[in-house]
Amino acid sequence: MSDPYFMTIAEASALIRARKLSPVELTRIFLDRIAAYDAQLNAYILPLADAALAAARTAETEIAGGHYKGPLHGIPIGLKDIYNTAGVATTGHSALFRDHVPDADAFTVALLREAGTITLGKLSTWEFAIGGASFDLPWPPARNPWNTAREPGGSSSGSGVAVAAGLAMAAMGTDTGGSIRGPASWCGISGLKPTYGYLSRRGILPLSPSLDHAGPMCWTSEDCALMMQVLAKHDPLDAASATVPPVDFAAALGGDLKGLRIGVPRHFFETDLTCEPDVLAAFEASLEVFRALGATVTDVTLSPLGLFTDVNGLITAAEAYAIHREWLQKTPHLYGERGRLRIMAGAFVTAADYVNAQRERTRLVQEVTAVMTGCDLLLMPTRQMTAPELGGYDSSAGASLTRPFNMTGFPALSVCNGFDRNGLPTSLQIAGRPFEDHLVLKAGDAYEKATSYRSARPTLSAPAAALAAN
Amino acid sequence: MSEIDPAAFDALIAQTGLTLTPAQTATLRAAYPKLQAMIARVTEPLPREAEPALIFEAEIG
Repeated sequence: MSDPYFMTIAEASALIRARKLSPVELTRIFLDRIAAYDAQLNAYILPLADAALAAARTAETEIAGGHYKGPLHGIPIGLKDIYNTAGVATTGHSALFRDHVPDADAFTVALLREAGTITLGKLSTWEFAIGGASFDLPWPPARNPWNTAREPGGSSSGSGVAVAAGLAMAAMGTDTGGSIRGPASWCGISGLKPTYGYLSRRGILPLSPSLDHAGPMCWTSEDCALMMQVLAKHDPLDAASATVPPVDFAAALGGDLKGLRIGVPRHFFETDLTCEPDVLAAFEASLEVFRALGATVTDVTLSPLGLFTDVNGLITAAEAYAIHREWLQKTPHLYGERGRLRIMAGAFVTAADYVNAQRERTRLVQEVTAVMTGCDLLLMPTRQMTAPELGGYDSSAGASLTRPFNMTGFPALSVCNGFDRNGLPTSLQIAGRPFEDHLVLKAGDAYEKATSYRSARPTLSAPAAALAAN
Repeated sequence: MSEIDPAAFDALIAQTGLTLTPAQTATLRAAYPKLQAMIARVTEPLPREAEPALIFEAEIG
């Protein structure tokens, strides 16, 4: 048996089901590891040790009594701290919401609890899922486990860090412009931004409601599929929640990729922005893996990446400002500087600008839809670079490879596709047609199983050394 | 896009109801041309019948 904290959900659930692995012992192992190592990573805002152990005991009793619920039963997870949790503070990593204690769980959190997951705690984020890594908030920013002087990516920073470092077996993130796939990229894990409407947004602190997506972040695409099995449920109280036939995400995995048609919008990352050479080399090597698995690869052309980025940016600015305006007018001192300024910029987007951005969005959705009649998936790097220095990254600067899929709502997955010359993860983004998330996950799973990158984990400093350094 | 005149920008700020320090005003004023450039890029002529998708609803693929 490998170290339990580095097991995948697929591995651990098989042992839990066979009663060879105790959910209580597994939860203790994760809580001990959080206590030992999180001082150097800051993944958690609020560990929930007592509640986690109580939930683990319940799970253990249920399983012992023959009431095994499924692959998430007894699995320890973390929640980005913009997911409402009943009776437990949900802060948005902001002083403004320090004392915000919701009455009810977010819809997705309730689904995960019903499935038997164990909530280890609430995870770091950028303030209200925007801004950037900040040092003027009530809690410090999360650090990349591959190099703690580097960015983990955001805004689901704690989620990416916790999964990569073995401080949670899975985590929930949210993604408005790349906030699941960015941290997945720089932390070397698998993160899925599902199709818009597949997962409920209800009970999650909003940033930009027409672009916000909830989604799973795990070590593997297979684990993301197991999470989607539970999470993809219609919510009648979320106006954007889709009513689509249920899909068996786990059953969709496996087999080869013969006949799969891959489109590569090469201009996105060769001319519309500049990629680091190691990122480009990893991407080209990934295409060879897909060809070997039976897929065909063809270049495709879309509108310039900067246009997708601008449309997404303007809609985010307007919608975020609409949500935060009153607080920014009355209590601006309760925001950190980066989040405050990012959101305030939305004050200068007029109603006409916003409507025109939505009109252009519709045109771009139609364009991508037309291109994807000729291919099943789009492939590109997730980020044009590996993790930069902590605090120096501005997610609003320049074109973004992730934003096109918030703007269109199409599903997109980030998987690790190697390491650069400094040992930092590189990543591959796989995007699909609406509600073909299962095909995106199948491709990610096939790629991960055809390569060896899931066998490498970050090496953390010894706990005592980390504490002394602080 | 060129910089906005400080007095004109102060007038814009006044309309928002926000209270800003001089440093915050300067930061936002420096970012303002970038925002205006974004707006200019997404205001390409579109057919009159092109309606906004205020709630995006994807079709099943």
